Amino acid sequence: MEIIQVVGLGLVTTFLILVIKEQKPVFAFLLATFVGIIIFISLAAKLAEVIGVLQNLATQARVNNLFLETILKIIGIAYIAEFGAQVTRDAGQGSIASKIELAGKVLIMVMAIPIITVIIETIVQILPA
Amino acid sequence: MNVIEWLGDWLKQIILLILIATFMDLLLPNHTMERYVKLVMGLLIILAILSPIFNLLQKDLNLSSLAFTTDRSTDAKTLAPIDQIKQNSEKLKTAQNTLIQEQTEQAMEQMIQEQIAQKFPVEVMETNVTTQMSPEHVTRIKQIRLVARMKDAHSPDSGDGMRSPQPIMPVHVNVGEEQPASTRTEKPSQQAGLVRSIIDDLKRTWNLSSEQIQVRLEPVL
Repeated sequence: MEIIQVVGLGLVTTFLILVIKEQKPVFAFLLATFVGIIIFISLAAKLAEVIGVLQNLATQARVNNLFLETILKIIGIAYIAEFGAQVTRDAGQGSIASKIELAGKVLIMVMAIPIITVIIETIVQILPA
Repeated sequence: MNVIEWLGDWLKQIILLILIATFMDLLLPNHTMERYVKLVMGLLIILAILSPIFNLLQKDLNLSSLAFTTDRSTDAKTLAPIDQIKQNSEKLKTAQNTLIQEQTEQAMEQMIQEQIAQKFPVEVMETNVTTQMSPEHVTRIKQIRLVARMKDAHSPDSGDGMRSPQPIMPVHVNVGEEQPASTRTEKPSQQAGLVRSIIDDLKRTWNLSSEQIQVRLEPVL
């Protein structure tokens, strides 16, 4: 049911933007951003449910907390970076969008650093000195 | 059972992690992030697969600290009732000592019984050896009490003293009063001789003084 709401909101916004764009392109952009944030927030609640289910499963299976934390952080970083990049790209700032994406990539790699260190330490410990 | 359980846990972890990874791949909004996310997820899965080895290594490190902490905790716990522990140990020691004493006493009694029964014409009724623990934890014989009875098989030797006077008695009517007396004294003297020789023997074999040995010889029934 919610998909209809979201699509309806999107369609209405698109028509409005098409109308406004001729007169006030700035408002058109603001409207697009605003609607984008609303859709994102409405989906965030659903996403929270999904993440909650994943978390539940993980705790039931006694998955290491570190893994789950890292995964959730990666999802969050990916989503937020994606959203920001798209908004900026909509505003015609492709370069800033790519910078935001770069930041997202770097942060995801930073997430990987403790894991890589743990693995390398383990391997070094296993290997005879 | 434990191993299977542990294996199940491990596999569950890996399977769930892979499931979440694929799910995340679907959730990911942009393909630009995909490679990075895939790399991190791959590392996570490797970590999950390696986790038993990792645990092993970590446990090795933890063992010393664990031992350390438990040592400290036990120290703290045992500090209070250490007197009690000492008391208990004393109790146990004394109990053990008494047990050893009893056993040595029994063994000695048996030895003495056999020895006396072999050497002398007596039947050993009862032997009682009391030992004493010296401060240096050396058991010493304190006293030997021995109750023996003249044997019937050898009674001719001693019994003659009883029977021989009887035929004499009717002969000397006047001295009849003396003679039984003499036989009575003769028999005790014989008994005393036997007792003395038993005592001497015990003294020699066990290296004791005569006050430590009590021998009572009962007459033949």
